Amino acid sequence: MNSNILIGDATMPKVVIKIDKVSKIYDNKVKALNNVSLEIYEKEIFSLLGPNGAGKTTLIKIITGQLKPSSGELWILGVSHKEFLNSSVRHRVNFVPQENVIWEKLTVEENMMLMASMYKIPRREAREKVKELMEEFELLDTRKRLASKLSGGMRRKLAIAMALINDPDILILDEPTAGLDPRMRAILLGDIEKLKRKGKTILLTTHIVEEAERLSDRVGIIHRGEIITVDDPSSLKAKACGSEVLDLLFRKIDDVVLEAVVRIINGHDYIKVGDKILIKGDNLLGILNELRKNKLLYDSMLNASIRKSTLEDAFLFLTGTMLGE
Amino acid sequence: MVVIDIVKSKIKIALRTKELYIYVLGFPLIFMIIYGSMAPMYYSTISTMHIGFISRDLGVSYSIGNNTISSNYSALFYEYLDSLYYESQSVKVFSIENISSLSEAEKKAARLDVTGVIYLPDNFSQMIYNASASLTYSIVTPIISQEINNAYSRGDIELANRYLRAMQDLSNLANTTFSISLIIIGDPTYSKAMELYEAVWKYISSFVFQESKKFTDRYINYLEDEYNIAIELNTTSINIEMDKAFNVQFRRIGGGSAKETFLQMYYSLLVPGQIIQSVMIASVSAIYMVAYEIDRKILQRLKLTKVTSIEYIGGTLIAWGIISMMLGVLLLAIAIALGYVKIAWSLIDMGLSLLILILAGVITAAYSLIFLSFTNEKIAANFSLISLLTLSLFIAGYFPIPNPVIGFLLGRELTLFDLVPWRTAITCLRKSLILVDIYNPLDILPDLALLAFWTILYSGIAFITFDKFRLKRPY
Ligand SMILES: Nc1ncnc2c1ncn2[C@@H]1O[C@H](COP(=O)(O)OP(=O)(O)O)[C@@H](O)[C@H]1O
Ligand SMILES: [Mg+2]
Repeated sequence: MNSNILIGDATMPKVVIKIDKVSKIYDNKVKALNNVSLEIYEKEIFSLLGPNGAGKTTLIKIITGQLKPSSGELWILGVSHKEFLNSSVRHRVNFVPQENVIWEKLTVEENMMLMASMYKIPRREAREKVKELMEEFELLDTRKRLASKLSGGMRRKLAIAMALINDPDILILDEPTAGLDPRMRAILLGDIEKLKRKGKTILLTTHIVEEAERLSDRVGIIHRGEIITVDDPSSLKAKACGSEVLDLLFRKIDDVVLEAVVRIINGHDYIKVGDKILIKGDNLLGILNELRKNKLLYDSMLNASIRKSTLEDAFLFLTGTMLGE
Repeated sequence: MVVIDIVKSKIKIALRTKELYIYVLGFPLIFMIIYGSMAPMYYSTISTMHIGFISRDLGVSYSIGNNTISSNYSALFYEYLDSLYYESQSVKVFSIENISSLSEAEKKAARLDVTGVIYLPDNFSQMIYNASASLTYSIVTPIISQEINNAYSRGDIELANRYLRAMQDLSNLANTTFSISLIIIGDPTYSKAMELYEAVWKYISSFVFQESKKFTDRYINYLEDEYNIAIELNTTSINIEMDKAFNVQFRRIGGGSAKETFLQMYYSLLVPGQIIQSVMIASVSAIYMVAYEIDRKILQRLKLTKVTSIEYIGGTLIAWGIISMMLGVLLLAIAIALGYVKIAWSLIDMGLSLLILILAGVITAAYSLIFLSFTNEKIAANFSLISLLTLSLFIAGYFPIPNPVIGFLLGRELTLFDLVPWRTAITCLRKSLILVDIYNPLDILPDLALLAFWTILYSGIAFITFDKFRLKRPY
């Protein structure tokens, strides 16, 4: 057992998941995770933000005991990953994989009751718990409906509600909002926030910036199997790109345009993605004015604005690539 | 109890899966038709039939003039059958085994130890005698009356009188009826048994005509000697209504005294095979059900819960046992509704049948889980369906496939097919469901023990492989 786990003091938050130099190389030699170290604190919402293929699901699988890391160590609620699945600590963790873990041919209520039974919760207690969860996730009206007849959003809600049947301390959600329409996405994010208020620790993965930004206490940016940085969203942005960025969109960026821009911004950090150039740093207004004076640049510019930076910008500066869908 | 909840849920899921109904009800129907149309293909083989022979014949005594003659036509019939060879081949038609009791006959026929059993009733010789007398009377009477007319027209009154006295003598044979009946005991679903049935029609009539001919010759000789006359046998043709004169009954094994139509006989013995076959085919749904849980990462999730591998696998197997029981009851109900089966079961028979169905379902699900342990669900489903279908064709006993005895188990012969668990289930089910008149529950025990053994073996293997390869933990 690692000594610095679960020994919280007033200033240090309690670490519930500690990941130490974890790497994962799949059999086909894909290096999905490279030397990942991470700590998840009690009662926070932690978002793993990264594009598809970054290694998010791989990390979730390792944390939940489905996969063995190629190297490195991790502890869940103080228990080594090697003992996790044999320890009762596993009952205090639950996860919802990208696929909805539901039985389509069972009704909403039957799904919940079966999961309760899997946790050997006494029947009467289970019934109460199920009712409570169905209320909370607005599933009561559909309780008699087969899961296969539910909308995508309702299914996800059901899957999450089922993962809460054992009242876990830690809830791990892999891409909880993937494939949902914006309305359902907003409702689900609200549900997740409610869970946090109830004192759950939530670890979720996403490749959607707004989600991570709105929801998270802390965000870990993961790219090509590496954790680039971890911080709360505003500090992360401040560190990566400052509070504002200059966002330029050109008709086309050729060598002449790029050269001119680079000359004018004079040492400021910039990044070029497609026909876009983002510039960070101080005195962005001055730079913008300089750029506008350049006839060539002004003509080929479609849009130029100084705006508040987003996590997407931070991700861009940190990784040099877009998050994308 | 989590196992009960798993069982209940799986049954619900199965019952809500439409494909299951197609597999379970559609396939057996198709196979019924296929079997039915394929059966005649097996009628034309030239090979020796091993048959059983039971005679209750009391023999017959009759007198010709002052001579009293005793005949045992059953023995003659035995010899006749034993001396038959296929045309231009040195292959005997029958090899005959004498059987002493009816119950032994039924058992041998049920096990297909013999193709069928020819059962001769106590009046067999009497019937042959009657037939011979009746034939002789109808052949000789017109000849003699012709001779009387001839003698009178020639004015030879004395000769005419001698013919007249012969005619009076012949009238002893009048009022005998031509009616031969005997019984073939066999399994009507076994095409060879039906072949025997058809063959016996043919052989009994030629035997009767052969014996009648001998009798007629003898009687004519007697009349010629006795009355000093000459009787010239010409080839008069005699009309005999064959349908009425010969009555070869087929009695299916276990049929008792119930009167059944031929179709009823055929299907009632097919039913256990059909039911087990459905159970075997339904295994595909078992695979898809578990495959769904693998695909949806449900199995992965369950590792975090308190459910154990034993509970999960046990629940799955028990669920399939119960599903197959429901299936069997449903198919049986259909068979009864269609009039294929007409049997009154005892409570023990019913209980045993349900138990057998449950075990068959457990074995099938275990078999499927074993495949699923090693391959993905598509391969597993296809492989298990194809292998079970093929197996079911062999083991249902529809076709004469050699099934050698390889040993003994609890005083019961162990055949090659007994190594296939579903065959054991079919054997058990036939005994408890259809052949209730021949077998009492105690007779089923050795089969049931074998079935239980298969259940434990298959479940054990399924548990070990599924737990190791599918529920495995990475550490
Ligand atoms: N079972 C596997 N075998 C081989 N490679 C895999 C496997 N699962 C994922 N990968 C690869 O590992 C990388 C990370 O995948 P994943 O963890 O699923 O990313 P994410 O969840 O962030 O989209 C990808 O390149 C993916 O192709
Ligand atoms: Mg993923």
